[in-house]
Amino acid sequence: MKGMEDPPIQLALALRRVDGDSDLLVELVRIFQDDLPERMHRLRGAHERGDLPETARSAHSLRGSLGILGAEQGRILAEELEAFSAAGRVDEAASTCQAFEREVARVNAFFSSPEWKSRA
Amino acid sequence: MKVLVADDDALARRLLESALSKSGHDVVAVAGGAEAWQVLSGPEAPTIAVLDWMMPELTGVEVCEKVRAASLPTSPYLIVLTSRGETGDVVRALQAGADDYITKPFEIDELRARLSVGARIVALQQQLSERVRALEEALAHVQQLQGLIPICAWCRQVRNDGNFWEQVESYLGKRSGLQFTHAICPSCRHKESARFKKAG
Repeated sequence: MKGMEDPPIQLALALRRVDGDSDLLVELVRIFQDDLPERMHRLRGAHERGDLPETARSAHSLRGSLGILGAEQGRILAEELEAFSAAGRVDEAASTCQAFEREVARVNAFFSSPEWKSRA
Repeated sequence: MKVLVADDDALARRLLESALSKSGHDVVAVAGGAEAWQVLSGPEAPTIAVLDWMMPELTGVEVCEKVRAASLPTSPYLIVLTSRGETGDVVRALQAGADDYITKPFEIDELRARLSVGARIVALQQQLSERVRALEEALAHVQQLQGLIPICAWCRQVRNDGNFWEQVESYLGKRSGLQFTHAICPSCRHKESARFKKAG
């Protein structure tokens, strides 16, 4: 059920990753959102071309950023996508890629709403 | 301490830069392995480097291999950042020349603690190098005074390597850093004053 979904970001975890510095977290989120369209474009393009090594590389790169920002579900999906792509498991990579894109959209929506900053 | 941070992910790079600057380190941040290698092999290179494993052009592990193969004047302490926590990967990084590794996503406290270990090891290495240099210098002096030295049995001048005769104090001074002050010993004083009295 959509309404029962976990929030895409664990703010407490994200703050721990930045040593409690909320200003730094805001700065990192801005970097993430600035770079996200291009990174997702690269991932999508690689996936559509069937370029599994590049898909794995793009997923790996996003996995690191999502981990820092406390986006645990996104980080886990990126890890799975990287592993399926690296192993040449095309079908699993395709379904995981879709789930990953949805999760990244949730992460982006979370950080696009102004309320999150007051909770950080 | 001067620390190099190399990560192609702008977000991770900024986090590392911020965390290490707050710990008082002088941070140089680059976005790729080739740039990291350039900084590490250049003048006034950082003594500690935090290198992401997956980077374009040169990976962090490849940078480690290049650094160790190059025998640079100062050997930096290398930490590889990896999201691959498996034993085989860790072994590969350490065999390539990394001194330590940190698994992503990392805790800032762990990063700082590992950097402190690195700083301690770098300081010990520098102390050791200074001691070795001092010992080598001392050894060089000792070697200069080894062997048979021809000395005139009458005037006590010494024949040097260029086949010239020179005063013993000049000869020893040049080869050992010794300095001499001139005085007169009691028996010479007695002998010389008797000679002056006789002459005068």
